[in-house]
Amino acid sequence: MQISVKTTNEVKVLAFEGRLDTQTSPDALQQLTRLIEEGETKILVNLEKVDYISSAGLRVLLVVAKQLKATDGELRICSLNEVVKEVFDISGFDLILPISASESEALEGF
Amino acid sequence: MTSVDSDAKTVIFMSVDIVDSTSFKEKGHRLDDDPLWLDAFETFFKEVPLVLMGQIAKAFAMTDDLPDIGVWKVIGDEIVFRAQARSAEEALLITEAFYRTVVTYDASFVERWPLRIRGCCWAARFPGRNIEFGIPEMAGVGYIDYLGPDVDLGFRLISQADRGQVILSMNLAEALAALPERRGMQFHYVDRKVLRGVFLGRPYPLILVTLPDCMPELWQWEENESQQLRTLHDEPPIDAVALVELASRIRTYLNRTCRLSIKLLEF
Repeated sequence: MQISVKTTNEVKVLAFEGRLDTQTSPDALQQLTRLIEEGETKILVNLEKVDYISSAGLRVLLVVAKQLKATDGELRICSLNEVVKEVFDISGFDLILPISASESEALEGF
Repeated sequence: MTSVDSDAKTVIFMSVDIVDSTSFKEKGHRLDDDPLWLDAFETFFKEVPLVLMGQIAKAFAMTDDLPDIGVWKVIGDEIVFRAQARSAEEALLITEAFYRTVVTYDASFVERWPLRIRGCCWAARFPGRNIEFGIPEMAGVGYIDYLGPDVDLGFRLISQADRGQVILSMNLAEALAALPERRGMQFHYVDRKVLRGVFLGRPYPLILVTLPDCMPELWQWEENESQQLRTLHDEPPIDAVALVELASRIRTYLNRTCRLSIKLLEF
């Protein structure tokens, strides 16, 4: 699992690549939590290049969304590919987390 | 075998399996020899953990934190989840999420294949009667295992659940029934059975859980065929106070006759 980080308009944009599952979730959560502890309040996670996201990966997104909400921040998700879209549909996460079709659309929403 | 954590904790185990899967698997193959049951099983293993996480998200929508929850193991046609509950209130939300997962997924699964699912939810306290440990061979993947009589109980108990039902261990049902606010959760004392290897052959209470806004869909023939389902349909839920008293009496009886010292579930 690779995570690249950039900043656009005061939003931390994290592009995930690979599988977000039981094995990779702890590292992903650690990186996201560190950003929040450093004071970041607007985080966008781009899932375009994610091969698969398991229930453990969904939990990471939910934990981070709750951490950000506690600091008046916000987590947004963007660029779901077909595999990830199906996972969000099955789990109902498409109705739980704010999802945008593209990075630019998500950035406008912050 | 190495102990991984000496801190006291309560773990909720949740097992979901496919009813009558053995006979379904016997029913044949396609011409290319792919087993007909493969699609059903692949779908079950893929979708149930995702649906549960969605239900966890809904149940914990108003909380600031989420429990540590995930798949513990997969055994045959059974998925076992584990979640650490830091309070009885958290145990209630976890149980609610699991119950809604079983009932809603059972309804969608049976529309695709002639199969039903069922679940069991039980609790164990660590350390003490039960232990949590790591296996050196699997240390690289962070696999944690659990052993103990309260862990074993659930694997016996799930076979007592009927189609679309969720059965609870007595200690968990007692802890949930004792809560002043139970989010509409109802308990049904449907029977008692001797479970192989459990409590020296003393009968164990079978307690089903339901939520009035999310009831399992059953065919009439299924109710006619099963005493447990008839009881669930015909009898009102057991009053929470009565359930707590019943559990207390059964615990006293089991402690005396099996020379145990089981306590009220702690968090």
